[in-house]
Amino acid sequence: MRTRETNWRAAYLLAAVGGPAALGAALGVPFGVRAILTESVLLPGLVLGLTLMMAPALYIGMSLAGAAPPAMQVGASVGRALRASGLVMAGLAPAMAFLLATTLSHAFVYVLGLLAVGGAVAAGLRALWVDLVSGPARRLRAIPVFGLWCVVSLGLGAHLFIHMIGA
Amino acid sequence: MTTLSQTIPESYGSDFLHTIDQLLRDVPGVLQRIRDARDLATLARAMIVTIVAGAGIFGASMGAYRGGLQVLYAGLKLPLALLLTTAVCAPSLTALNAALGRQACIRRDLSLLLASLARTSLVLAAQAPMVLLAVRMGVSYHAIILLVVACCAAGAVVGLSLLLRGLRTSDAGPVLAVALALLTVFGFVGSQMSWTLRPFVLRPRTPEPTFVRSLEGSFFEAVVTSSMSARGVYWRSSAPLPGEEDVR
Amino acid sequence: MRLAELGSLYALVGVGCALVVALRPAHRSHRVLDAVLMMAIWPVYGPFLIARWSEADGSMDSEVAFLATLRRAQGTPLAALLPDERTVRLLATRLRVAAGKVDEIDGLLRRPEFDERDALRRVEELQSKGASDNARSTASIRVQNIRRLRSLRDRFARELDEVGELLKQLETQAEVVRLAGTPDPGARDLVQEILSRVEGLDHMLDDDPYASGFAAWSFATASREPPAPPR
Repeated sequence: MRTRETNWRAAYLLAAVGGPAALGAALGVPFGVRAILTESVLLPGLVLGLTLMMAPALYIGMSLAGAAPPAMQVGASVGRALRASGLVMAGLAPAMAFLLATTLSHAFVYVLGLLAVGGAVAAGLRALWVDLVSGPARRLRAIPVFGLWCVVSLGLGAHLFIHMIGA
Repeated sequence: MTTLSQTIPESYGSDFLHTIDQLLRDVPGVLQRIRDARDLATLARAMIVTIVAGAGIFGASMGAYRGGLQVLYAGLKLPLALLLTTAVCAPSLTALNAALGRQACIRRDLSLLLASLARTSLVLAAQAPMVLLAVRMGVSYHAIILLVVACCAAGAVVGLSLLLRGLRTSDAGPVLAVALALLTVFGFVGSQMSWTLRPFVLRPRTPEPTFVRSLEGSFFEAVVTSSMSARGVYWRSSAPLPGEEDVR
Repeated sequence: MRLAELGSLYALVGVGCALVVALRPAHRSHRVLDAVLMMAIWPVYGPFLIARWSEADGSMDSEVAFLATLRRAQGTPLAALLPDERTVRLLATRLRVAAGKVDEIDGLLRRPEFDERDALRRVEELQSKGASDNARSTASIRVQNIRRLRSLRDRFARELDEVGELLKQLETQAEVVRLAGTPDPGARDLVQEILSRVEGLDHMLDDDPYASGFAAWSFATASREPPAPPR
């Protein structure tokens, strides 16, 4: 019989954790094997930890603005956003490994790392926005809350990320 | 009266010339074949051979500026630069498609990338005589570089148009975001790959051609150095020749 | 880790992939080229070969298998039993469309919105919450749609597998007939069986409204979140 059942939950988990792990490993390439292993654990930890910390704030803020769907749906949307950003990170990992293996400047590690992680996070935020907010009225109320939440999350994430590289 | 043999060619789906002809004259047919995922392994093989041949011819024409071994070196390195860049960037398109809610299938995405690069390589091969003419006329090194860049830009535009068309027809999702992101990744990796495999045209003052030079940092670091030099800020007396140490 | 180490790792994996290709039974004419391409650009070429091998192990590309089998049979006394070119093309297209339907439905069923267990859980949840009849019936329709999609997929897949087996039988029969010099009495029945099965795929497409994309539409209308019960 043809093809096979795919457990989509397992696929989502693999993308959400495996993607950052792959990109983390790539970011450790200029610093040696130990850094590869360390950062393949630190980056998923950073992404998931930050998400756990910031997701409730998003739900509360959107609810106060009258733009939030039910809590379970917010949770599912956050899961889908993690999957989207994880997929982009997994896709960028080989390119990053090559670029960082061929650069002599540590400054470029930070620049390229921020670009790659930033791009992946942007894909995740886009997926989150598309999933959470439907309808023009809801969208208007959601924009300031979501915007402020993004700025705080990205600022916090960038700060932690820069301290994480080469740790 | 047509027979079954004419319906099914002797080497069904494995005719290289037919695939190349289709790539040049029947782009909708190629895109349809990719969408239908029909015998993609044969298509991929034909595309890769086209890239090797087309880019190899153009690379050889670049190496003709110096002549001798450089013709062979550049003829090998240009297709290698294209294919290794594709190898490194291969998962990016599928990952971007999946993340942005578009249809994502690694074989179809790779086939589209390879078809675009193959078309670019064919355009490069067609422009190789122009570079050879410039070399024969004794055009200066920097003018040759500019001509090569212009030829590559022309090839890139043709290849990019196929890529965009393929992205648009495969799915209604966000095409521009995917295309821009892919081009960014390809641009970064391709620049660094070319830098790693340099030289292609070879500076006149280089005593002996070598297959590759020492790394000397990345392409982006070289851009920063050049922009500083353009402002009159130098940190060394001259660029190192192959084999010379880069004193910082 | 610098470029040299990364390059060595890449080359090592490439050599491994090339060895796998070289040792695996394949068409002689392409084995060397496949091995060279795998060694040089295994991230690019690998997915194509893996897909081709998994198709060869299980169900080949249906259209290609159908056409290739008929071409081989044409060189034997079975040629007189084969249909004309136009009919062959039409039948091959039907096979491709049917195989495409299976893949399309597989893709749909992999999405979280088509998860049957989730849908059943939703029905139970609505029943325990005392939701309205409308909400419960909408959720039940969702479950029924998912089951119909699955059963349609299984029907197509079964038919395609059986056609695949019949094609393999025709291949061996063609060789026997070629060596014997005269068509086997059972060969005519075999060819007719294959052709009628493939024609039958078309009727499956016509008879079942879900096959024409109705499934996606009906799911889209049935899967809208049921209205929250009044407080």
